[in-house]
Amino acid sequence: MNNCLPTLFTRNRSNQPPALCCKQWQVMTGILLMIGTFHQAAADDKSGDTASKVTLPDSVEREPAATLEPITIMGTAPPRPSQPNVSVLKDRLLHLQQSDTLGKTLDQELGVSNASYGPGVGIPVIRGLTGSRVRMLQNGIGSHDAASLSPDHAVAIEPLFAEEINIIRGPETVKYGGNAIGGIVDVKDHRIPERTPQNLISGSVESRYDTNGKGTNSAFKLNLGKDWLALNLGGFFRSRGDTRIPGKAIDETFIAQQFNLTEIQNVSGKIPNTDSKSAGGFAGIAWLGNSAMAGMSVSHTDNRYGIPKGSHGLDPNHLDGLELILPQLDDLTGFEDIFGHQALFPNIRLDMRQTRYDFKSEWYDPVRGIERIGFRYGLVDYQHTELEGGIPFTRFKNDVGEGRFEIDHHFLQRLTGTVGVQWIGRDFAALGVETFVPETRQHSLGLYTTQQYTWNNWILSGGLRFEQSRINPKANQLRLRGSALPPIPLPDEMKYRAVSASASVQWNPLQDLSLTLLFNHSKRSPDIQELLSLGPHLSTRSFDIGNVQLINETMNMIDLGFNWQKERFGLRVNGYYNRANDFIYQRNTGLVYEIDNEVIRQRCVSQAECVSIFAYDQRDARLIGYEAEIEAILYKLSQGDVLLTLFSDYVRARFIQDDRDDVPRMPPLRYGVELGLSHAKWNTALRYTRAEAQNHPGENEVSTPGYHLLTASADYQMQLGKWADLWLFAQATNLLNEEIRSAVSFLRSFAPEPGRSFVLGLRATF
Amino acid sequence: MMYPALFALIAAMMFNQAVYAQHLDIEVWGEGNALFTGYCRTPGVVGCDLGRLAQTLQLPPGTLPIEAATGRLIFLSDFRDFSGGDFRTRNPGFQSVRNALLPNELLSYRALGVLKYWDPASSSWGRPPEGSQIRLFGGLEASSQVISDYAQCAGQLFCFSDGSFGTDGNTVFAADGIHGNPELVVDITNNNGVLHTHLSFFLEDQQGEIGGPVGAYLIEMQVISNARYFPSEPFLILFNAGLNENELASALLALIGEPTDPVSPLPPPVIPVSIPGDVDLDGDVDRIDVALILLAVQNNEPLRPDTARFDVNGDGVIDRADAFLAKELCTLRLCYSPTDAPATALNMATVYDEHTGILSLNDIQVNDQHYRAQLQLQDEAIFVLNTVQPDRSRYAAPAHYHIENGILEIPSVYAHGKFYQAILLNIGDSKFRLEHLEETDLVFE
Repeated sequence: MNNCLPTLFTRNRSNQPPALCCKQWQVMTGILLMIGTFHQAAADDKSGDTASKVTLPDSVEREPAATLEPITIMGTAPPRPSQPNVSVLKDRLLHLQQSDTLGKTLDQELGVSNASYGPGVGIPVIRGLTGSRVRMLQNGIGSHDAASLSPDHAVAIEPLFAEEINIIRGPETVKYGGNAIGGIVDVKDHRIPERTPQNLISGSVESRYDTNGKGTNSAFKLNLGKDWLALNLGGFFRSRGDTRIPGKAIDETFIAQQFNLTEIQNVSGKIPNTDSKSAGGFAGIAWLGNSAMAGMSVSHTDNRYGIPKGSHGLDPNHLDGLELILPQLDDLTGFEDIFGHQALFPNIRLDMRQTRYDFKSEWYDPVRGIERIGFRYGLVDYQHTELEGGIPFTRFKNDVGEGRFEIDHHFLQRLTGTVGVQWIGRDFAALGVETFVPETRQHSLGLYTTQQYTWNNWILSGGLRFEQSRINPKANQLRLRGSALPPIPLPDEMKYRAVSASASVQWNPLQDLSLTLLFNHSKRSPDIQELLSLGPHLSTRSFDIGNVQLINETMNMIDLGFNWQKERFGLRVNGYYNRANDFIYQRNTGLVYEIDNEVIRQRCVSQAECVSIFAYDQRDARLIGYEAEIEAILYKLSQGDVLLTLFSDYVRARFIQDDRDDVPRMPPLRYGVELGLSHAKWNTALRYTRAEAQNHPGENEVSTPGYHLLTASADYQMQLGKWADLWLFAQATNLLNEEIRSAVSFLRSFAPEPGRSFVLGLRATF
Repeated sequence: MMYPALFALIAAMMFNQAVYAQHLDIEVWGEGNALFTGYCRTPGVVGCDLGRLAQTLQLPPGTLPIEAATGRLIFLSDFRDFSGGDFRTRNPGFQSVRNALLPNELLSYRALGVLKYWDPASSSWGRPPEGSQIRLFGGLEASSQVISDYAQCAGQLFCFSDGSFGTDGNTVFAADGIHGNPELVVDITNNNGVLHTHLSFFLEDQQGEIGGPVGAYLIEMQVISNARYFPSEPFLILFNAGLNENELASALLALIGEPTDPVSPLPPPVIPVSIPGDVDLDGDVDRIDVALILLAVQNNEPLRPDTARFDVNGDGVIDRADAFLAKELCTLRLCYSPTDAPATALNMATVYDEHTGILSLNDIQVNDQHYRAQLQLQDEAIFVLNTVQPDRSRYAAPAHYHIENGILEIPSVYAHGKFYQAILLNIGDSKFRLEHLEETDLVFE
């Protein structure tokens, strides 16, 4: 082996012969030794994302005058200008906002809402888009749960482990496929180690208590390692009782209007069956070489949560006839299991399990011009069982492999970029009673590139993706259980090709001022449930009919951003226009499906026992909105800085053709103010959010009233001796104890958002 | 499988408990090529206490609600009986007990006659007030307008008629006759020939506004089957729209008249094959069965031929041990682990009823044409063609008839709870000889 290249992965920045190379090293070594100590210290303070590693040869061809120990220089890249259309939540703010669900964790982010389905489910909604239009990633690989299939399915990502959450909407989205058409939420928890800890062991322990529902969250992370081997371990446990609310769970006015029911089972003060228990952990190991790394992790999450009672089973006078016999029976001893309250009005609960295997390998600067070659692969074994009255009735399975191979280059000084390939193989199955989607196999392959060119105070970015996907239902025909509907033949295969492109130009006329214009043309191929659904879907109170001839949905978005960051003042404004061609939506057919009789009709007597029949269809839509935030340090006091933040976001979505009705479940106009006091060791903040009424709820939806949300937070950081830091925090949410019914929630008329809650917690890092 | 909501009402009547509306479901059964409807055809079926029914309806003893002029049965319903609001009802329902119909038999109704109105002021039957009508919403899934070919539905997995859902899915009973679609689906039977379902009736004006004058309303219909040639005899449904019991009795008596002849005998009873614990004879053991046994125990019901089913353990006494055993036998959701009903028979194009010897070919393909036919077993392996009529393609695996050699290939026929592959040969004179019969699992292939 050439002594100048002592290891396989040592980078060689020049094409010069080894001898010349070695002479140069002799000269450079001395210089680098001088600056090495400084850079080492600096690098330790920087995150892995902005650090690049440089390894020097440990010897030269001839015996050197002095023997030098190998040394690693951590060069720090110059700070990049803030990326437009990327929001990063990390550090203190992240830990303060971390909640039971990803949606709730991100709820305060501009342009992001939380689509809840009771407190056990919270799915982020970005600019009004969610489900199959927003990709949830865990360290760059999809969560691959069943969240896009139905709004009562939780995202299988544990927010407690998150060390950084990125919300991405710009050219970078082309790396992640059509389902990122509305954006990406990437939760980075570094479960595969990316560096060895400074000491042999480091980590964190966290615990928090929520007065609302007596929720407890506890988590730990351990980072172990030395030299080239690192091991990360983590675990969490969460438990909570029923969520407390200020009024009644079910909006009785809505029920009377929609279902003609005046006597329903309703509960005040809490939402029954919203308790949850969740536990999980991970282990990650990595070999961290000088110019390369390889690692893997295994994780398992078990999440059991209840679904608030929806409109099915609302009517106590409808128990399939039992309601008239049981009152006559004097003695039910021994039959409580089938005639008890739980058996008569069974709770729906979900038992979710996910096991993931993640693999990652990176090779830094293998050849000139190539900065990194990276490989990632995630193998996800997901399943959840839906139980009614403790008895399983439907099981969803999702076995997915997603891989990505990409090369980061810097061929030119001003041009950097990435070229990559991404592939996904998915086997989906729903087995049991509520199998409204057949077993299906899905494959997709995408080739993509993102490039960035910097010239003076201009930055041009672009992204391009070619994607091909195919969907193969395993059945050749569908049958509707218990129905006289003839068998419905299915195509063997549905193929899609999509080309997505994105471009942005950022102008920085001043160092602290930037203007960004983004154009995004992205395509999404239809998802399984949009193509192949057939049957009643109780969580959405619908009977879904798929459409196998749906074509790609196209979003053309123009986004103009303005970002001005001064020492004591910051302003960020984004306005966007999003034209969605062939937007896939559910068209109301005007027919109903009687759940008990399993019959399709034009109309039925008892609305509570019927669901509307929706057919997937396509139609052009338009989404217009903005996000704005002004931050200012009002006073610099000896006790700390007084901070003022004003914020607002809004999106208005309408279909373009026909009667131009509203796209359903859009977030309302939000605005508010936050007043904070910030000190090196502690912070306090009082935040007021006003959400206006959503009077554009969409067809067959009801308006939601506005609300006032007042939250407060305080935290304090202290050192515990030499080795540990302790961070104490408290957060109060919904201090006004308002009844909040979220416009983006499917279940808003049955389960409002949580009432007043106080969270107390501590986090120790060592 | 439909949940038998009305058994509860029936049971309440059986055990002499007050209910605020009286009705019996329309029991449907088939014999040979014909359909029948009636009350209490199955001896001892829960609720079939006709004496009690007559008493509740204030009819003279021994009187059945049968229209004197026509001999047609009258079924009763009340527009205020269930939640969902006045002027709408799901009753009467339709039910068939185990083996009363064939597996996969598709039942439809056919609306007849005109809407009649009982005016409480004049105490007479006549035309309804101007504009009043009853709208009935039937099932659409087996409508002839259903298109299950996505290529004809712009990709939608199924649609109606011209690719839209704008189908005529309701029937209007008005003073001048029937409007809308006169024939719509009631439901399809399960693997055991069991059916229990309810339709949606609305009282409204011509503009479709729900509501109408107080009185009683009378409509007429019959049921038809895809597996039988002859429909049922027409029958009447009387809806109470706000009359008190006496007024309702008057309206009913005006139809029935004074009993002069003894009640016409019911069709001969057929004891259904019993499933231990299935006391309501709906083909399964569920919580209703357990509750009915407990009610019988509480009421000290003696063991009689018509209550023998309640003695599930066969020890000669109806007691709580029977209810416990029924609970053990309970197979349905929320009682014990769910079982996926085999969906196979739901899609069988051919079924054989061993009781009647009828081979129902619900879908025969001859070249590009589809037909429906019935063959009657004559001798051991000889079937005689009873009926044949053109139809549309309904099934994934139809029988195929080859004109050139007279061979009828049946890829899968459901009989005795199993599936068979069969080949019949046309031997002339409308007779077919069974050439080959082999049990198969390949139901849809």
